[in-house]
Amino acid sequence: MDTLIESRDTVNNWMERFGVRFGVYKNGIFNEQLFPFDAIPRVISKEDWDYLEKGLIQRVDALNEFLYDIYHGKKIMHDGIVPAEFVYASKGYLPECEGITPIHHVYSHISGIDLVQAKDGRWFILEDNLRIPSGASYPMIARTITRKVSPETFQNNAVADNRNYSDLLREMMEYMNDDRGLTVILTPGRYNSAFFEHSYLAEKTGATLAFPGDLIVEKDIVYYTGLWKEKQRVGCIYRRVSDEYMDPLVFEPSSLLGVPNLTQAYKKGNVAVVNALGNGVADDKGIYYFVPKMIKYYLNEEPILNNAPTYLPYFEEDYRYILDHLSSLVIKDVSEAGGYGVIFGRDLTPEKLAELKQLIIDQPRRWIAQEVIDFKDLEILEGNERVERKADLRAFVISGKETKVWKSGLTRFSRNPNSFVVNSSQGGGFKDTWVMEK
Amino acid sequence: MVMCYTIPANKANRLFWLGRYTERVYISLHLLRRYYDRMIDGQPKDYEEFYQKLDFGNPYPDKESLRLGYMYDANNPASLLSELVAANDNAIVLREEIKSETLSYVQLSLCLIQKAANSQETNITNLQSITDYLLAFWGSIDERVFDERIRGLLKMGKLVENIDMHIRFDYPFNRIKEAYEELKKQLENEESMYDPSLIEQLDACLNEEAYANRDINYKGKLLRFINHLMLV
Amino acid sequence: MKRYLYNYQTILRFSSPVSRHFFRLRCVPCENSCQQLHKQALFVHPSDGVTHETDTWGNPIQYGNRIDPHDSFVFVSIGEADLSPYQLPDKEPTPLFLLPSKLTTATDSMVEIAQAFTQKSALSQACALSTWVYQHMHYQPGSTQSSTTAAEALAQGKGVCQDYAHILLALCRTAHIPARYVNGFMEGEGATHAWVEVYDQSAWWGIDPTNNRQIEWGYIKLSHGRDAEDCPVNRGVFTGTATQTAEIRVIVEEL
Repeated sequence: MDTLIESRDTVNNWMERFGVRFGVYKNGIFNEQLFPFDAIPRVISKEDWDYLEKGLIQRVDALNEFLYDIYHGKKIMHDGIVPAEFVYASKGYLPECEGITPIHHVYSHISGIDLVQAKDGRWFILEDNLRIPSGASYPMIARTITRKVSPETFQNNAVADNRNYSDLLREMMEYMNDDRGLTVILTPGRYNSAFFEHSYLAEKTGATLAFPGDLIVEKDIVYYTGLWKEKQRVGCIYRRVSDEYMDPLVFEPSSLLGVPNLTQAYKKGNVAVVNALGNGVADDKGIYYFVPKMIKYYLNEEPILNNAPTYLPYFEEDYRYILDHLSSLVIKDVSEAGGYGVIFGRDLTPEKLAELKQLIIDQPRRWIAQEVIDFKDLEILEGNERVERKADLRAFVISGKETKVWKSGLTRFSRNPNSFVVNSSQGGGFKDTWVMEK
Repeated sequence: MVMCYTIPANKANRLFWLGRYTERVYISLHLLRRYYDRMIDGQPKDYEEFYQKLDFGNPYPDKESLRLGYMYDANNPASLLSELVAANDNAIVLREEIKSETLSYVQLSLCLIQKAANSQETNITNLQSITDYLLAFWGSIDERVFDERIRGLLKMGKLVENIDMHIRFDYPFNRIKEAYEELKKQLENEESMYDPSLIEQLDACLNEEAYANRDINYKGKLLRFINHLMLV
Repeated sequence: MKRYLYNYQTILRFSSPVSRHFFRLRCVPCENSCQQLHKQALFVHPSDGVTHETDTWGNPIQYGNRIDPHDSFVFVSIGEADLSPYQLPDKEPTPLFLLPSKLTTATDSMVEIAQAFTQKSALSQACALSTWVYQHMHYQPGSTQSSTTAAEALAQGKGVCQDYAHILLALCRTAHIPARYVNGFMEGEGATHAWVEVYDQSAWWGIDPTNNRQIEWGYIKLSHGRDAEDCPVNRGVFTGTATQTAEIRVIVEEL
C-alpha cells in the first residue's frame, strides 16, 4: 500500500486527465473543481462486509415494499405502524403517484445508504438516499487509476474489484427496459454538480446521455429526438433530475429540465423511470425512524443494521425514555425555524435540563432525541502527515431482478478537523473503499 | 442494449464546433511559432497583421503583451486559452460519443495552458505538448469513434476551420483545394446538413488564378461561403 | 334532475409561432352520482391527437401535443349535463384534504377565527365560516393572481372566487373539517368559477363562499384537488419566445 500512497500525485494527475470534477457555485459563478482523492483506502473486512451486505439488502427491500404500500394499499398506516400524518406531511410524498405501479414494482433502483462506524466497530445507518444518490463514479475511476499506478498493491491485497458498477447498473436498466427501446441517462446539463458522473456512467454503461429537450412524449410513448425529426423510442430513463422538475405539466410548471407528459407515459407502464417518482417519502427525515419497524412489518425479520438510536417523543414509550435519560442524549429541534438546534444533555446544568424537559412536555412533536455515538475517525494524508478526520460511507444498492450491493462505496471525509460535514461541496475529499475478499 | 443512431441537433452542433475549435488551436499553435519567430528580431508590421487577418483590431500595445495575450488572455476570444476553453466546453458534453480517452487530450491541453497561464510562462516550447495532444485527439477519434455520422460531424468542423484559417493566412491554393475536396467527400451522404447552393458558389469561384491575386473582397467572399455552408 | 347546456371556449393567441407545444387540460366536466353527461364533445385545434385520462384525484384530463409551429391554440368543450342536488357520497376522504396545501396554509389569526366557530355539524360550521369569509372579503377582479395564497388574499381583504375558496379551505382544515377545492362552471357566470366541497356524514357538500351559499343546483364541476394548483383548466409548455393572450368564454343554461 505504501507505493500507492507515495504515488498519490500521479493518481491525482490521472484524475485531472479524465476530467474527474464536480461543479460548485460560488457567488453565482459556476466553477469546476477536482474532487480531492486521499490515497489511504477505507478497508472493510470480509466479515464486516458480509454483515453489511445482508443488512443493506434487507433494508432496501423493506424500503421498496414501503414505497409500493404507500402508493397502493397503505396497509402500514392502517395497521398503525407508521402514522398517516408522518407520510402525508412529508414533502417527498407525491399524491400524483398514487396507484402508479413502476415496472417490475421497483421504486428505489439505486439506493445510496449512508453509514458511519462507531469506535467500538458497530455500524449505524445515518440516512437513506432513494431519489438520485450520486458518487459511485468517483471510486470507480479512482480504482481504475490506482490499479494502473500501483499494481503491486492489488497483487498483494485481495480487494474485490469495484469496476463492475457499470455492469450492475446496465443489467438493472436492461431489466427495467424490457426491450422497449433506448436506455438514456437524463442529465440536467453540464452545469449540474454531478455532470462528470452522468457522462461517465453513460459512457461506461453504453446508455445514451440525454439533455433537457432531447426527450419528448407523443401518445404516451417517450422518444429521443434527433436532427430533422428523427426519433427513437425510449424504454428506460435513468434520470438525474429531481422529481419536482420531471414533468412541467404535473409538477413545477417553470421547469425546463423535464419532459412534458412524461408522468402519463410512466403511469401507462410505457417507460421505466429510474429511480421511480415519489421516493422522497421513504428517505424523509421523519420516516427514517420507522425503517426498522418496516423491516419487521414487511419482511417479518429482525433488522440487521441499526439506525443511530432515535427516539420520538410523539410515542408514549419514547417520550418516557427521553424524559428519564435526558442527560445522556442529544436533543434535536426539528421545528422549521431551527430554534434550539442540537443540544447535548450532558452539557446542561440541572436548571437548564429542567427547562428543556418542560419544553419537550409542552411540544413533544418539535423534538427528536438520539444516543450519542462516538465516531471512528479515518486517517488521511495532510501533506506528509497522517491525521484523523470524520468520514462516512455511502453504500450503493442496486435493485433490479435481484437486490445487489456494490462491493465498494463512496467514503467521504471532512478536511476540517472540527467538522462533521463530509459533503464534497464543502471542501471534503474522498477515498477508495476496499472490500476484502478474504 | 438498443443502439442509438439518433443525434440531437444540439449534439450535432457541438460535434461540429469541437472539430472547429480543436483545429483552430492546432493551427493557432503553428501560427504562434511563426509569429513568435518574427517577433524575435522582426518589425511590428510583420506580426501585427495577425489580428488583421482574423478581422480583429490588435488589442495589445506592445510586443510583450501581444505575445502573452495571444497565449493566455481569457478576455481575448482568439487566445489559445480561450480557444481551448471553447473546445473543452464542447468536448465535456460529448464524453460518451468521443470516449473518455479522447476527451482526456482536450483536458490535458486545457490543464497545460492553464498552468502556463498561471505562471505567465513566456517560453513557448512546452506548448509543443498541446500540438502532440491534438494529434493524439484526432488519432483517438479514428481509433475509438465508430459511428460514421459522429466522426463525420467532427471532421466537417475540422475541415471548415482548416479552410477558413488557411484562406485567412494565405496558405497555398492546393492546401485549400485538398481540404475542400475532402469536405465535399464528407458531405456526400448528408444532404440535409449543408446548403447545396453554397457548394455551387464555392465550386464556381474557388480557382487558383483568382486565389493568387490575394484580393481582399474575394477572400471575404470565400470566407462567407465556407462559414455559412453548414446547417448544424 | 335538471338538464344544463354548457359551452366552454379558450382561444390562445401567440405573438409569434410556437412549436413543441404540450398541453394538459381539465375542461371536460367530471361524472359522479349527482352529475352525468348527456352529450359531450371536445375540440382541440391544432393538435397531434388528444388522450383522455383521469388524474390522481379522479378528474378527467385531456392531454397531447402539437409539434409543428402554430400561432393560436383553441379548445372548446361542449355538452349537456344532468344534475341532481349537490351531495357526493364518499367512504373516507384522504387525510390530504385535512392538511394545509401550498396556497391554503392557515396563519395564526386564521386558526383563531376557525376556533371561534363551533357548530353542531361540520357542514353547518363550514357554512358559518363561509359567511365569515363573505363578510370579510370584497370581490375585486384583478386584485390577486393565480399564485396568491389564502393568507395574502385575506390580509388585503379582497380577491376573486379562487381566493374566497382558498380562505374557506384554510379555515375548514384548521377546524378539522376535510375540505377540497373545486373548479367548474356556474350558471350565469361567463368564466370558470371556484367553490369548496366539505365532508360531513359520509358525503361531500358544495359551498360557494363567493356567493355565500350552500350549493344545490346550477354548478357543473370540472375537477377538485387540494387547491387551485391541482385544478388548472389548461397547463401547457411550448418552445418559442412568444407572448400569449387568452380569451375564455363560458355559457351555462338550464334546458
